[in-house]
Amino acid sequence: MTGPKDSTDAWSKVWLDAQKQYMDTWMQMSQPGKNWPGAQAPFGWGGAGAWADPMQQWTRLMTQALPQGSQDASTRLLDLGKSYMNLGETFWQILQQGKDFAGQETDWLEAMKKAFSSACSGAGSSGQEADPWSGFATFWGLPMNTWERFACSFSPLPGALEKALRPEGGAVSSDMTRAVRQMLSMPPVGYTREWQEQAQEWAQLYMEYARAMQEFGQLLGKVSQRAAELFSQKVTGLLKEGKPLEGLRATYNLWIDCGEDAYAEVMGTPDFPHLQAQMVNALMRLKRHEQAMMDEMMTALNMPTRRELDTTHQRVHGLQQQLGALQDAMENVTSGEQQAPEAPRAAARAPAAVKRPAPAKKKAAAKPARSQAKRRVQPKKTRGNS
Amino acid sequence: MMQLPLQPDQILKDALDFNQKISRGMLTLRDVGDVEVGVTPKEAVYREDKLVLYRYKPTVDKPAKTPLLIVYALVNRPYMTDLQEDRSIVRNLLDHGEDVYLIDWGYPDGADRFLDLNDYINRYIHHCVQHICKAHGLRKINLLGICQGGTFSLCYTALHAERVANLVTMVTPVDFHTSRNVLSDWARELDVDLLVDTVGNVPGELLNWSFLSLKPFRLTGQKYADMTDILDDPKKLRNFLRMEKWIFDSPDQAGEAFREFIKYFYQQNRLVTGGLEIGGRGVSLKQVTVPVLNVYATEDHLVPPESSIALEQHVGTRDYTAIAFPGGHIGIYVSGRSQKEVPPAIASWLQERSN
Repeated sequence: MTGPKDSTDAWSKVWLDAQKQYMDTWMQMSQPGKNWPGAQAPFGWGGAGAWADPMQQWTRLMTQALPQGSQDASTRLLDLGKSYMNLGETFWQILQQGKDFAGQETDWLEAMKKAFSSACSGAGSSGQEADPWSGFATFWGLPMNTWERFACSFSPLPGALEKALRPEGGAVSSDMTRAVRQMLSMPPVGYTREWQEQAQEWAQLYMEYARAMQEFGQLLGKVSQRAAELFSQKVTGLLKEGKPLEGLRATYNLWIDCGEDAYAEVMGTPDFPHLQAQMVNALMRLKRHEQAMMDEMMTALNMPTRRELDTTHQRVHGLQQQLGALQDAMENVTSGEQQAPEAPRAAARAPAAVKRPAPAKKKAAAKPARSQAKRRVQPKKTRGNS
Repeated sequence: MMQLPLQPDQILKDALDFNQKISRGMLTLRDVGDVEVGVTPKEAVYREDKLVLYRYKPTVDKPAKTPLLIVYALVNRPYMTDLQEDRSIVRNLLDHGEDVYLIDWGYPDGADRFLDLNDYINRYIHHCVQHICKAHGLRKINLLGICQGGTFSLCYTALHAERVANLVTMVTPVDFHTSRNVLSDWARELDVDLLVDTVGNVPGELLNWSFLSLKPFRLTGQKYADMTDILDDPKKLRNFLRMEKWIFDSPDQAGEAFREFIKYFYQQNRLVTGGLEIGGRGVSLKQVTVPVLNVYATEDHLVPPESSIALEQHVGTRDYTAIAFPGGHIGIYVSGRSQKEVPPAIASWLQERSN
């Protein structure tokens, strides 16, 4: 009789065999004389993601069978796997082209640099305006993805609104911008004018947020470009020194180093904190306005609003502080403590001009255990509300 | 023939190896089960709202007369100090004769949105200290403040000097405007009033996003590539998963406390420049006149060493000691070297000052 564990083990073996067969087919493509036929890949997969996608499909299934504590880590591992395999695939294609290259070595190095830059910048997006999610974000799917999830989590509107509004692979389009601006220019009239004003203000705030996000995304896009430059420089340097890369992992580590160096350069500019804060602030203005609109709707339905809940919580908090102060005063009285003003205020006005010993970096061995303290451990005590 | 930096077939072989490592690793992940954290035996001795004060079971016959209260940051969970048996500051302090208490702040929810720094410092910490003092028949105890908890401990000591015998600060930000303080730079233009008014409690996920954004390639990419190297070792994998659990176990931050902390500390740097008030009372580092041990990490990317070292210039005590630990913000809790050096140094420093 076989249990679920045996079943997954058997399935895993089948999968590993299939993986080997799959990669063997790719290996045959690497043989001299075999040309990489562009987007055509064995087994019907092609283009970027051909290496990563099959593994993703299998491992996502496996993830569901994992204990809760391992699921999050395995999801992150899979995200890494995707980036890793995409890097491998991109670099493989570049090298495959170089293998049969008949021109000057410098020409090939230049071609390699361009191909890598193109992959890093999310080639394929053809919108007139740069896609804030291209390059840095799509090649790695890193910080902006997390931001996107956060941004969606407070909105009463569909989470992926921003993505839904832009054309495939592109930024919020000029047409979209124009349409929204037209809506904004309509004068609010009639019985619903207040609601129209609010909707117009929402649209205005949304456009500001989209612009702020785009500007920050474009800044992050520079990281990919700079990382690609650094990577090409380092690979070229290694080649000149006659030191080849030691494998995909070494290539990946080199790319990470270049990515962090490039990121540090961009992060060190005044633009980074400015644009990042601008994006966060713009999102908050938008969400604040959405909340106000929601509150109005809730009021119309005679439902409690966020504003009312805040008021209630604030009052409870005030009462709790008053109660705490009373409890402390009572305890001080019952324990015979004086409620004399505590020293700090006076000390604050009289800064001590002190001479300290030089910082010591002593590491004395622990003393033997010390005498037993006279402990009077009180029974468990509880204050406030848990 | 063109010289290539790497042969294409080598990449394919490595990619297959990588795929197979992950495939086999998924089976190990399945088998390791859920990981446990916070391993040292402890007892809840006091509760208030969502706060729980724990006392760890002493491991020596005669622990120190003056207990040590650990005040951890509001960001992330305090079990980092007791992650696993062989990586536990708490365990090490106990073994070196300390009587250790720890504040667990819990997970604030919407009803805690108006908790402010006065609540955390003058109410929660103060009540825990009072409880321990009563339990031991003492007027004052020792404090060990970690990271943001260190900043809180400095404020508490300034306001309640009569309750603190000795103060230890670990990776504690003091001067928030030193160079290379990336988090501080990011906070400068943040409209924190708008943020808190909008979201109420600040989501832990937002803070995590900020921390991961400090080194996105390493922290969200390379770390997991390194994880593939330990996928066939259940023990190492469990250690990794414990750390992962801690990193992503980020409680939301009570809105008002977050507002005040960002505004007063990160944006206005009042702990150093002056003008800090908590609960209507002025706080100055000159009021901290008890012995201070300041432990900082030389490679700390969250709290730059300069930010901690600045304490010496501003603190009022005559008895100031600094220890530079060669490592990072996380390594100081869990690295093997830290386990050997940091808790013994703290215990030794405290014992030298015990009556």
